[in-house]
Amino acid sequence: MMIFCNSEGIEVAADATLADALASYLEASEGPTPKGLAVACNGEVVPHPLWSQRHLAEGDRLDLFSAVAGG
Amino acid sequence: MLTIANTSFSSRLLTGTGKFSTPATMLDALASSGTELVTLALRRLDRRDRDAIFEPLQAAGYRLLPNTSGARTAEEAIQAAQLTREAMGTPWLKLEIHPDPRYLLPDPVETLKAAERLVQLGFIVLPYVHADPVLCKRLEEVGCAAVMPLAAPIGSNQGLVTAPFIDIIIEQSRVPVIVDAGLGAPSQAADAMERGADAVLVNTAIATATHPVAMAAAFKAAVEAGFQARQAGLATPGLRAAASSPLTAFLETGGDSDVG
Repeated sequence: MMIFCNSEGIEVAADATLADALASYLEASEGPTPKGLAVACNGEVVPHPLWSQRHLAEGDRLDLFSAVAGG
Repeated sequence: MLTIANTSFSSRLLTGTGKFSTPATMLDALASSGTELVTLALRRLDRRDRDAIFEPLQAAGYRLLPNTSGARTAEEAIQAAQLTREAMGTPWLKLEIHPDPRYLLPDPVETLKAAERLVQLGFIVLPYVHADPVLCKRLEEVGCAAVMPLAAPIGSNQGLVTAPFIDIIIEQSRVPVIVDAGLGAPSQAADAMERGADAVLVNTAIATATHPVAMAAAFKAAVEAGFQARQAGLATPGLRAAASSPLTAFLETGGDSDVG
């Protein structure tokens, strides 16, 4: 099915979780998910511990944010 | 010790992590500054241009102070805060709302509105504001852990142009006063500390120096000197001279010299 990560459409398995989609988007199949990230699914922040439990639906919109340098 | 929200810090120099030429230079400069509390920002993830600074900062043991830079309204700041808490695992927050990209001056109305709500949501809120003593009291009353009045516009290196108002804020505040933004030289940081600021936050002046690591050390020394001077009790300025040496004439005979 098709979901959206930061407005970019990606194809994931029908039973994909948020963690699966993130790994696919980041092409980070090796190793753990990088730290310093936050994800909102359809506008609602999803806490880290729920990423591998949250199943996605067709057309879900993920917004991904990352810690960057700043003052 | 500097205490913010029941957390003690030996260093009174907070530093930003932006504008450094490389992450390695940033980490070296932070180490040289002696800072224990560093700011970070949050951005929409660009998977092709990952800015991997979070893990090195965390590994180095710094307490993180994420900001809400980019937020233009209270509503956006509250959403950004929830994302930063999730991304960085801390309720500490430098609340900054500056809708105007030209001067980056903080919006006082939106900041107060957001601060009140964020305190209710359990955040440790350190708001970046103009050097407005009335606003700083209002922010203290809604539960902010510190106030961060600006010395001058962000990144302008103009120094303590708001000094008279910073003095009033320091006199009135019951929460720590952290002078933030616009400090361009260690002497200006020392000035802020001599006036009684609890801490200063410096980013651009260190990051864009020719030698950031050396400049970080200079700011560290200046902040310590300014704080020690404040504690020691500064001498009072006066218009007239006051002799430091005895006025006893010994070169002339007969009568006192008036040369000191």
